Amino acid sequence: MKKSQVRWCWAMILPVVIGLAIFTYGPMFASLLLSFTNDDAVNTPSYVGMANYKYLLTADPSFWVSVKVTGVFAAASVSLGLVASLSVALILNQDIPFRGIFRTLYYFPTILPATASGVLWAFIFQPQDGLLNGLLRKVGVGHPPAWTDSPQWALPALIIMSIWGFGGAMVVFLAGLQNTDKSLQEAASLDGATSWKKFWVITWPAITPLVFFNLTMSLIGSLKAFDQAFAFGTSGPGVGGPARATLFYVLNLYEKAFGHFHMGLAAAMAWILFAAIAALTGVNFALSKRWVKGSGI
Amino acid sequence: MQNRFRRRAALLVMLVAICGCRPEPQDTRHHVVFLYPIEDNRPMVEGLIRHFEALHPDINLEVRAVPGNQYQAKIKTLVAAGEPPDVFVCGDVTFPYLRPFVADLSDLCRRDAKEIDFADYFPAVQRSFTIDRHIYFLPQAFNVSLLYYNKRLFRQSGERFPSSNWSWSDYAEAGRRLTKRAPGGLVVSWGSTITTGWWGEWLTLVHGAGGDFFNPDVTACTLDTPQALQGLTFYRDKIYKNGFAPAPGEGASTGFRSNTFAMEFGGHTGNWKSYRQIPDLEWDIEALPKGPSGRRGGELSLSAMGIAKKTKEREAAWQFIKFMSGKEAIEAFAKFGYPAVRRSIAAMPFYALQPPLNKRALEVAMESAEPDPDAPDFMEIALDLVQPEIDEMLSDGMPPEAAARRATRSADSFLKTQISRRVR
Repeated sequence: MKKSQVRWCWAMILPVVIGLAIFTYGPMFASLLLSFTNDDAVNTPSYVGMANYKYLLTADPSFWVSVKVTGVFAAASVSLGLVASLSVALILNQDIPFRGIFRTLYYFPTILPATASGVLWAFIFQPQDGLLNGLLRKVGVGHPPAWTDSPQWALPALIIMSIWGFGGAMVVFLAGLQNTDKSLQEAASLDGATSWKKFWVITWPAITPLVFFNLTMSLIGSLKAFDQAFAFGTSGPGVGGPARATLFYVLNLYEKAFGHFHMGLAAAMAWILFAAIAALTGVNFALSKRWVKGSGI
Repeated sequence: MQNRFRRRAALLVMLVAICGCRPEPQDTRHHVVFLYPIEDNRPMVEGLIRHFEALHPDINLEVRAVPGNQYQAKIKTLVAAGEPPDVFVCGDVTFPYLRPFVADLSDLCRRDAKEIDFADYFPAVQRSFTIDRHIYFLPQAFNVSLLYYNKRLFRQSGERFPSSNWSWSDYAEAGRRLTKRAPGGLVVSWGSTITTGWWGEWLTLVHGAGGDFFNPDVTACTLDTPQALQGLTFYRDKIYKNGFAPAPGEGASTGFRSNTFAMEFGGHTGNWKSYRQIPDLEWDIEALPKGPSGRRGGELSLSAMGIAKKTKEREAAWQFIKFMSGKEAIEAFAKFGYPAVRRSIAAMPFYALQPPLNKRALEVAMESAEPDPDAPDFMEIALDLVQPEIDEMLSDGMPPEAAARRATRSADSFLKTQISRRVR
């Protein structure tokens, strides 16, 4: 490449580099510095060393609770979401009537804002007058769960709600399934292979890169889950739910930052989350070598 | 032809540019920004604002409306950005946190004392807005903890209405008798509501039993003392031992409004206007029953307006908050449904005729009410650290001792680590 071309290249990408430096890496670096201060957005912050990290990891009663809530939510919603999206994609990949309508219907919840669906689900799960408990009472359940008001049932309610939005992953699986080699399926059918055998030996290996993609994206998404819990809480039992039952990590971070203006603590929480997501994604990539076949369909 | 068109086009552009550069006529009025939390009282507040502007043509009031549940975050964000509104809603509960940004109005109050007529405010209200002999805000309304009761359910049960001499055991016994069950065991009407999700009821009961949230210098939480534990135990026993209040998630979601609760402990005066709109809800109030310590333990909290310390329009902002706490405004607030902070308005015939009729109970409650702790972190500690333990205690049978121990440990740990972060 000629020197003048290199210069032009730099000139072209410079606005993006400057934008990234000022609006992305700059604030990130600032938040790292902030995490070592007692900034409360009002008074002049002073350096407190690792005190914020120490408080979060050893003394804050909500930190580990929110880690646990987020972990349980991520494990349940990611695994159930993957199973649901793959199952529905497999069904909708068959030649069934009204296939197009079903595909649209299953994808539809994905385009709804999470906040709006959070409000809708809060109504469904409302313990006294909600739709779900109304139905449960009609079929003879005398004491249905108190869902949003119950520390035991509030998180399962949010997990159920999260599975509703599996349409995005379903579309990715569907695209992959439509590109699998049909001749292999036909050959296996001629050899008398069962449906399960065909899925496990032919389809599954072909779609493992898509499973890996959906797994990684939904894991990151669920670790950063916020809006549905926020909407759920503000429409019902309060932010974080009863006894912190739905206090997601990012919701906890938001409350610390914008509820109580502990900006230093919130910045420390953000960096802990960043490190955790980076580590989990790294582990995910490392393990993928053992089960992901090929690099794509 | 073409040149003539170009010349005309250039002339037009120049004219537009010249017109665009003409300075706007200067607004010489005082510009006051009022950050307003959106509530159902908006038409009434806007009516008052229009009237204020008509009385003060030299003042231009800019109302920035913010959803009520985002108000505190908004005001803190504006303060943090160095652009606080000139006037904002600031009650005695939020004052400890907002204190560094709220202007001391004592000099203006002294100057205009005659016009304000301080003696007209109820003494308890006056005490609430006088902090260390300084005044930082002027009130529009207040909430005080009361015992609300449903007259129809009392009559149907043959119960005598509550009296100001009631003790906790009178309340619990009446509550048990007023809880009515269908043959299958399903509760048809409850003896009392139970307030969950915030400190409104459990802290009142802690006070009633002789306990407190913090020690006097607010350096340690005292919810694990025997007195505080007695209050928390009574709170939990309403559901699990005495069975006259529903567990969380049970009972009608509309609470006392549903006509299925005989009593409401604590409640909120902000609900009066909605109670009045339910035709078959016959209700009245009484002072809270006394706890074993002799204290009723309820709180009195003001809804008031303050001025930012950094305002450039102190005098204009002062005229506005003085108007909003004046007799005309308080009459409008009282007619809308709030309890009157001024005695002259409370003495008006319309006020006496509006339910609740037992206005004497309101005065007893005001006189016996206790202020919330004067700590900048009180709301955070109460809602984020203590409340989850209280929720556990009510939901899964955690003993009050364990809940109190865990809540105290969390609060103490927070106070030790964070106390230096706030201006006190």
